[in-house]
Amino acid sequence: MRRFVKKTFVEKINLIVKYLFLIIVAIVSLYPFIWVVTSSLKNNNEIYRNSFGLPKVALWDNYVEAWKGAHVGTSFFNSLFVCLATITILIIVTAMGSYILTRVYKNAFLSTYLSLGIMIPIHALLIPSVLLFKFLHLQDNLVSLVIVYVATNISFSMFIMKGFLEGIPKELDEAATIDGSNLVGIFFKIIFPIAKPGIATVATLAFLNCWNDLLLGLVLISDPAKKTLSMSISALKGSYVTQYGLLCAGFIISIIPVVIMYLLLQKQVVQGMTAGAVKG
Amino acid sequence: MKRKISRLGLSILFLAPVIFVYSIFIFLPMLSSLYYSFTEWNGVTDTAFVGLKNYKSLLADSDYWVVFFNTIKLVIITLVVQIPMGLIIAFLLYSKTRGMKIFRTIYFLPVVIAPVAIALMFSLFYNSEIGIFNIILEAVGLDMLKKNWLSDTHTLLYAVMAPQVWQYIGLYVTIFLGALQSIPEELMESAQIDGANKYKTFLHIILPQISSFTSICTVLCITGSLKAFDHSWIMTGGGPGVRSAYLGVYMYKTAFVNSDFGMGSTITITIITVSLIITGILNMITTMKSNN
Repeated sequence: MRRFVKKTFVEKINLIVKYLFLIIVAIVSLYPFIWVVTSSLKNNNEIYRNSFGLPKVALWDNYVEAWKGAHVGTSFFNSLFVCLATITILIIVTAMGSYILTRVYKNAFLSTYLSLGIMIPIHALLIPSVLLFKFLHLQDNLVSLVIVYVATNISFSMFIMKGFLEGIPKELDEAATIDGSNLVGIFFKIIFPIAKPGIATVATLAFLNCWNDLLLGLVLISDPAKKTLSMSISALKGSYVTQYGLLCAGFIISIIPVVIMYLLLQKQVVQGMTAGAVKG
Repeated sequence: MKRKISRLGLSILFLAPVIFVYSIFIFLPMLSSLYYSFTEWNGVTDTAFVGLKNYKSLLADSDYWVVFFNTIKLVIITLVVQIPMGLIIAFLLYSKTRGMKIFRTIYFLPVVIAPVAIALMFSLFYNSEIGIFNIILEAVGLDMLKKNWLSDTHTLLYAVMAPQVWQYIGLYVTIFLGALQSIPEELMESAQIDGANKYKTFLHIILPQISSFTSICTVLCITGSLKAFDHSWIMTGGGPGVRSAYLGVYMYKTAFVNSDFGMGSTITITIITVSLIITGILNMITTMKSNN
């Protein structure tokens, strides 16, 4: 009997230690962001004196100024345009491609060829891309970013899309063929609607990849008015060297779209990022 | 007959865009990077084929080796911190935890945020005036540990690595959590019936079951470190000199700051080679293990 009681006591301690640990990890993951949020509403003096507290008076002006300064506002819309254009083109192109490669014309060589991109680090593309877009007269043009982002997202998108399309029963295509639909009809009437979850996953992950990229933007864009948000955020450090509140506000502006998306589409985000991981 | 032709034609039409974009903007550039690595070239003048000259001078370049070992240090630190932490947290979450989803949501949050933003945030934390690391140290009475984290040569490299390690732990938690959830429940139950304690179950049942995920995570740590760029570039620009630069940063500096496209390509090829060799070795180990 005593032994029984003692064991539950140990179990209780274990449980407390476990939750304590999990909560500490949660604080370590989350608190940095909370600190930036509160600091984004303070002035320098208050950040220094009252580092951990809430702002006494919320300085919303920091956001207004950060939005106007260092091209944050313009680059916000540049990023949005580039991301949306990339996602749209990427989905059309890879949905069509993976449809053919999984259901109409299976070809191991082409599938392998298209999956090689997973192993190619972005660094291998930087110099050739700069030259290629110079040759195409697209340097310093957001279109060049859209093209590169579509290209660099092809391999993983094909991987996810193909996984989804393979799960759709073949009988559906056959039934539609008997009904007189051709490839295009089947694609739009059957494949596209059923593949929606796969498309959502591809879209979310591609959005994150584009929104968060810095390197390709740095080498392809130099006109300040055409910079993406990552680039102007990295420039904030230079322009607001001592205005910490503004810097924090700029930081928050840059992460808001991604955070909202993560909270709304968590399943797709996690699925995409870990599928992206599992693929190697 | 007519139907067949149109089917083939449509297939080609459907496949063409993806293959075209991929070939022109991924595959060809990669091949040309290989070619450029054998040339001397600043991007403006004509390319001059110089054979292995770039590779030879790279091997004799002391900066390259500093950067190379910085990258290896990053690989080691991500391996010994991220994977065990990810596994431990995932294991704690897995064993009937209340609020598991909330914890997972919080842990994964930093993963989705731009590395640029994370680096910016950490450079604020390291700031000598308002940085919270120093403020916390002061608050707990450890003033003597206060530092200028990004200029002290002893802490510089680790201060640059910290945000990257911190940011991606959630990714490994999530991967391992998925791995643990994929273990058949009967296996765990029978182990418990056999009287195995938690520690033994973990060592003899769980670890072998998730070994394929562990090697995936290892590959991720390695490839992630080999292409690391943003954190170092934003926080220190890789400097002073190349003290806090990784291979990815050094490549960017060589190619786009010093306009040495040939040498930049050579560095890229060494990045690809190292990553292929390491993943190749890992694959060999895993296949050998599964054959035994």
